[in-house]
Order: sequence, then structure tokens, then C-alpha cells
Amino acid sequence: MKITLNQDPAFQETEVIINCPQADEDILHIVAMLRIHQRKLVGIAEGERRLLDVKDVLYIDTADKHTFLYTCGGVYECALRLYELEEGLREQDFLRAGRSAIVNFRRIRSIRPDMGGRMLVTMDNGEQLWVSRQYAGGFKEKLRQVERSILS
Amino acid sequence: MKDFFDGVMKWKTGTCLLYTGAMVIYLFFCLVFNNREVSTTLLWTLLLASAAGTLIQAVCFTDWLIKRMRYTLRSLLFLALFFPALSVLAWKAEWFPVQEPGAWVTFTASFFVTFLVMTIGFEVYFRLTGRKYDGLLGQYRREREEKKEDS
Repeated sequence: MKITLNQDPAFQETEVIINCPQADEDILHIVAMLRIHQRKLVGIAEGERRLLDVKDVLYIDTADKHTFLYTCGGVYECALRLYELEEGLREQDFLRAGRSAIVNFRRIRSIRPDMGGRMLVTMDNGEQLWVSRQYAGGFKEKLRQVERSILS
Repeated sequence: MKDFFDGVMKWKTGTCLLYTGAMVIYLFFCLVFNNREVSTTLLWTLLLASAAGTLIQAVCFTDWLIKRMRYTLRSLLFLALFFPALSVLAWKAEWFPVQEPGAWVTFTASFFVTFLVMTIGFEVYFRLTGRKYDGLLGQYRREREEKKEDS
């Protein structure tokens, strides 16, 4: 694969053009990674590709090496791995809830602590997800940040 | 293997905490009944009870073995496992005059009162923390709305 970077102050905006004989899995993966920067995710449902706003995604999980995006409107498969999404969506307040799930903190309706250090989060659509003890610290830290911003 | 050793370390920590709590309660009763001597058998069996209690607690109140169960059922399972285990240890090690029915009544009552106080304590803590979290979430959302309006 040839990678060319054209840097010129004359350009008004950044444009990414991919020239290829066929948009294979690797190319679609690159496109999906680039979309994260636009706060968009590529989801596949019933064989159709849909461009989803990151803010509409409630949570993401994996099952049998497949990644799924959950919105109020439906479930979409995503070509990206969970760790790639976690890294790309950290700035958008997506937090790890377990080994196979990340949650959009902005779409949480309520959080309840539970026995054994776990947390039960209720999403905007009423769905409830467990945050394992291992990852509950990230949620507590986020809440502490909010608390600090109130106090300051 | 790492998970196994992590589990063992958690078990050790839990046992230490429970043993300390059990000793505090036992010392309280020693003070009330003017008991000035403690046998080593009692100390060993208290340690055994603490280890068993921590294990039963992990079984009943975490998702280690039981993934989904209502909190009330978990509490009942804990009672069904821990109280008989504790009673057998108390009887074998003679923690109190086991021939006296009154001593058994005191033992049973102490167990259930301690359990009730701890359950209520946890419930209050969880509710207050949950309310605090919801307040912070509300604040977080308001701040985000304000940022959206400003931009």
C-alpha cells in the first residue's frame, strides 16, 4: 500500500482520498477508523452499511469475535475491534464496563453501586448493564471528575 | 493462573477483615460476661470461621459462581450456608456453654442482629451512593448541554 501525504497551506480542509482497485476488508477497516475522527461509526445491519453518530451509540460489546453497536433504534455490527473503538472513542467518554463491553457515559441514565464492587448502569433506553469490579474504577473516576468540576 | 492467585489474595484480605470484626465482637462479649481468658482453640476456630465466611460471602454476593440471582435470595443462601457452618464450629469448639439453651439463643440472636445491621447498613450505603451518582450524572448532563449551547 502506498501512503502519500500532501501538505499545503493552500488546502481549505483535510481530505482523505483512497485510490484502490476494490474496497476490501482492509480498506473498509481504514475507512471505519477514519470515521471515528468525524464522530461517526460504520454499522452493518441486514447487509446494509449505515453511518451512525457516535452520540447515538449507547454501548458496544463483542460476542464470538464480532463487535456490535447498540443504539435506541437497533443493533449494528462493526468491523472494528473493541480495543480500537475504546481507544478511538475515549475522548467521547466511552468507558470500559467489562472484558467485552464499552459504555457511552453520556447516555447513562443512572448508576447504582452493587455488592462486590460492581455497578449497575441504566442506559437511556432503559437497558441495564453490569460494570465489573475491575472496570468500576473508571466510572468512579469519571464521577469524581464531575464532582471536582462542581467544586471548582 | 493469575486469576486464581488474585482470588486467593482477595480471600486472604477478606478473611483478615472478618477475623478482625469477629475478634472485636468476641471481645465485646468477653467484656459483657467478664470472661478474662481466651483459648487458642477458639482463636483457631474463629480464623476458620472467617475463612469459611469469606468464601461463602464470595459465593453468595459476587458473580464468581452465581451470575444472576436476586439480592434477597442471595442473602437467604448466605444465611443457609453460613449460620449452620458457624453453629457447628461454635458447638465443636465450645465458644460458649453449649449445654445451656440460653447461650444458643444469645448466639443465634447475635448472629441475626449482626446480619440485619450489616444488611441495612449496606442498603443505606448503596442508596445514598446511588443518589449521589445520579446527582453527579445530572450535573454532568447539564454541563454538556451548556457547552452545546455555548458552541
